[in-house]
Amino acid sequence: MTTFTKLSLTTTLVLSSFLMSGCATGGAGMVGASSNVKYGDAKAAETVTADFGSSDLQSTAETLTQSLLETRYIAKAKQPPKVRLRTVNNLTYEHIDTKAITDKIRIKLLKSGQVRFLADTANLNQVSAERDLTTTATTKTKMKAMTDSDYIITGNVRSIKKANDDVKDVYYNVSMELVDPQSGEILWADEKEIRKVTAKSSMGW
Amino acid sequence: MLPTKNILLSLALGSFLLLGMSGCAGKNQEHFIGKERVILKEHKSFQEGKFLKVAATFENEDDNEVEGMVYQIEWIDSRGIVVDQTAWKPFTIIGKQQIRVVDMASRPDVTDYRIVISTPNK
Repeated sequence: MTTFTKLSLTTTLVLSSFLMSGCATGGAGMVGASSNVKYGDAKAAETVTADFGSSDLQSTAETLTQSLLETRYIAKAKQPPKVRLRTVNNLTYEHIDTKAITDKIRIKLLKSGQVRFLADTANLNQVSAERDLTTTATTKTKMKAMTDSDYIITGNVRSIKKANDDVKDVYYNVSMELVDPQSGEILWADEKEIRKVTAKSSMGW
Repeated sequence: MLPTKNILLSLALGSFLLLGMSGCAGKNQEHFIGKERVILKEHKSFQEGKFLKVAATFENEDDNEVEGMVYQIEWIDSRGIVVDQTAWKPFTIIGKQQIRVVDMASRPDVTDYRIVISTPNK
């Protein structure tokens, strides 16, 4: 093998290994650093479209949690009341995961230490299955009776949309209620209103 | 002489207590990212049951310019650690308009706060 052939073989090897490594390299602890994917602030105000978005979900959960914590049925309770989340109805024309709103409120309320939560209707099947398994598959034949809720939380999400050639206006209204299931009395109700305007011209910010 | 000294001491202690109770706003509780095109006119905190509540007023001092802004409140515990924060909340403020906001921490261990304001580049 001539020196020239050896040299071109080495060059080919070095080049091909460089090309094969591709763009997957990055800094320590990073892969694909040169791609277009970037991590952003999860709590940033998102204005990509006028649809119900992450900022609306977060601000709704914050406002309604603050309001709930101020109600005397929670703030002045001798011990944290037991609450069950019921369905929040989506009465808008778009898909909104209303459970994401109530789950976020539940997390915030649990962190506050002022409220205790019972398994909601979505989780109740899992709880029942576990109880059945305990009574059939283990020696424990008697189960403690499940506790009942002091209050339930329910609500609605509504929207009104209007548009002309230049402007699209969307109004969201998320309302929630705290209900005493014994008496059926509505003890607390509050709402979060959101208005989003999309202008077709380059106005705004 | 002794009673006068006691009165002065009580007055000093009283003033310290009042200062602490009013939750007086400090400059380290404000943080601007980028240009200060909107001003934080005033802010104060008070205890609402077990939770800290913050009231703040933003103002666009300009006559004509419409400004966009976002703000976030960082909730700080007694050790000075940020334990929670609000989502960034967006506003559009027209000239000379004031916007008043009230936010409450949802954790009882929050004792202090910092308001972070950002006005996007035009």
